[in-house]
Amino acid sequence: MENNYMLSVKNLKKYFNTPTGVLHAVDDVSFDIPEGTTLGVVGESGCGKSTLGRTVLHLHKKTSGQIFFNGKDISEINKHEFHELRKEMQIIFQDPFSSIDPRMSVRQLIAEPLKIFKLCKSKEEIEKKVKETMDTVGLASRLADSYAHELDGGRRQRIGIGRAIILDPKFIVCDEPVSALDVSIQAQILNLMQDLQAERNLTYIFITHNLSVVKHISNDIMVMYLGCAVEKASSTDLFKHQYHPYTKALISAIPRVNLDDKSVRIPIKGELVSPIDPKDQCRFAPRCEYACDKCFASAPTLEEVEPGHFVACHRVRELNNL
Amino acid sequence: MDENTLLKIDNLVVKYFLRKSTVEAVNGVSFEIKKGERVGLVGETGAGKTTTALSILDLVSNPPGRIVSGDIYLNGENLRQKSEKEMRKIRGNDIAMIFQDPMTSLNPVLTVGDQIMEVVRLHNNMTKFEAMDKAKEMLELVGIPGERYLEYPHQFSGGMKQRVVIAIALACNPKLLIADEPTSALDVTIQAQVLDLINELRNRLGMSLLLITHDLGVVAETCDKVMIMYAGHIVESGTVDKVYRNIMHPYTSGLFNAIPKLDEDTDRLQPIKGMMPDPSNLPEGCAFCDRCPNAVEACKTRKPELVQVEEDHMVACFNPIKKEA
Repeated sequence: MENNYMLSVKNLKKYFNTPTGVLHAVDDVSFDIPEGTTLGVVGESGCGKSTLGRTVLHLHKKTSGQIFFNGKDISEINKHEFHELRKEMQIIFQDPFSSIDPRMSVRQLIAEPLKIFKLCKSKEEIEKKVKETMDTVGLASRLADSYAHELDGGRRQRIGIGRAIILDPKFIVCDEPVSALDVSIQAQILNLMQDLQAERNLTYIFITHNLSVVKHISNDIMVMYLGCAVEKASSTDLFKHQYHPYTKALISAIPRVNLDDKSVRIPIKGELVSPIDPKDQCRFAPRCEYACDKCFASAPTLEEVEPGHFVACHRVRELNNL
Repeated sequence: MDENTLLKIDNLVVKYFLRKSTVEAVNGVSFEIKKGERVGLVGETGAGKTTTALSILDLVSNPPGRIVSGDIYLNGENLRQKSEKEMRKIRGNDIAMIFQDPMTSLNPVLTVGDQIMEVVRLHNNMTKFEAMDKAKEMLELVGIPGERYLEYPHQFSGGMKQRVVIAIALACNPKLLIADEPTSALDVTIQAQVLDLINELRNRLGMSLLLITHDLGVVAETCDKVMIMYAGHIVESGTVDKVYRNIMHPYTSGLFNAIPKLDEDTDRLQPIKGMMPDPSNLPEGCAFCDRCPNAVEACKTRKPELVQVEEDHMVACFNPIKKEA
């Protein structure tokens, strides 16, 4: 295990038992994140990106696979040991409206993690840390006694970020942190997250369905479809050329602001198929216009088609002349 | 009035009268939509986009909301002078509206077929069987197999539900379709499908479209004209081509700069500084004044009017951005 990876995930699987069968939410996903960088995870609803983030943090119990954090295997540690690790691994949730207790003031909300971990000896110390954190995330100190309902979405999300960083974590899972916000506020929050990363050398998993945002904030990007990683590359590479038919369609579907951008939209027929008891085949095959017999016979695995660019598609070389 | 004008809104003012304060949601909005035209209304949360749309249908919840002044003409007839009974005939028949969230705008205990039949039978003198055929036909039109008309909304995915909502909206061949964030709850590939569908149906049926969205990209791909709204005012309007190529209002420019670009690499985004003003306590001058990099003395005391700056391009600003030569 190389030491420069903050987080390494090997063959992670998360299955849910449902009355109709086994739902494969995350199926055999592996990745490494170097310290101080951001891995963007993109995909549409139901592709397992949030489940992936939560399973990494042990908020869901994994079905199988290994998770290494800072060089240490944390896949089999017990609840008590993981409680200690929570100081270093945090999460920011999507919806700043429902992830915050409406009956707590901003001060109480931001101080809560400190109290849970009993990190401060005196009230003054807590007060001092809360004030510092509020400054860092850009909340004016006059808001300390306000309640969430008095604040707008951007400020609420700043509370969420404050709660995550007050313990000085090394690693944060950001689960759609800007999806509920307007564009001008979204830009403020993204800038804040980048500043924090630069100052504290934070490592992020940034989960989103917004491709422009993920391009902006990530070093590496992993595209997921129905629980599987279909393409993985550095952010610049991925937006320069995509090799998987799904990634191509996904990127072509983004509405362009630039009127001169005449790129043609590649339609995808149909809708997501059920992730319950999937057959051993390429998950995208039923919607893929290039699907052949092989795609329905076995599931492709990620292979490196260019240095650092991984694609899971049987016909990738043939279709892209690689 | 011009014969080609379908909808004309003249100096619309809508306020919400709350116990302690009065929210000024729409402050003197005027615009026209021509027959067959696609108009995008863009703005952030709280800009007054939805209130404007609801006013057209006289659906602003009263109390606390009330249309204080202004006139709304459809085909030359003033909708503000219509009785509730007459408005009921117009809603769904002449003007149809699609709401943001397809999960909540359908009735979960009625089949989708029944929900389409309801609007058809309300506005046309049809037997149940004729209406049923019409419902199947509408489902086919939006790309859902007709035999699924007996199914319930929960049996459809999000994109399919939005298609059903579109089928209901178009069942009576409206002259104007108001779509309030029709794709915001959908994934990009499904959004692309739904926008293509709306576009295709508009071309086939020839209705006008008022598309409300916060996504400048969606407007660029679907609309002929665009109006940018801020704090209850239209601050910039014109054809998409003119406005996108020659942005003049500092707020519009701020919106464009705040979105991460696909074709450029930027290290830092440029957010618009500050927050939108409290709509119950709007400043005396231009509402954007406090956040505006171009603000001059006049902005603090007077409200700028929407004036024409070039053909098909209007801006409400005392010190608009000048195009670099």
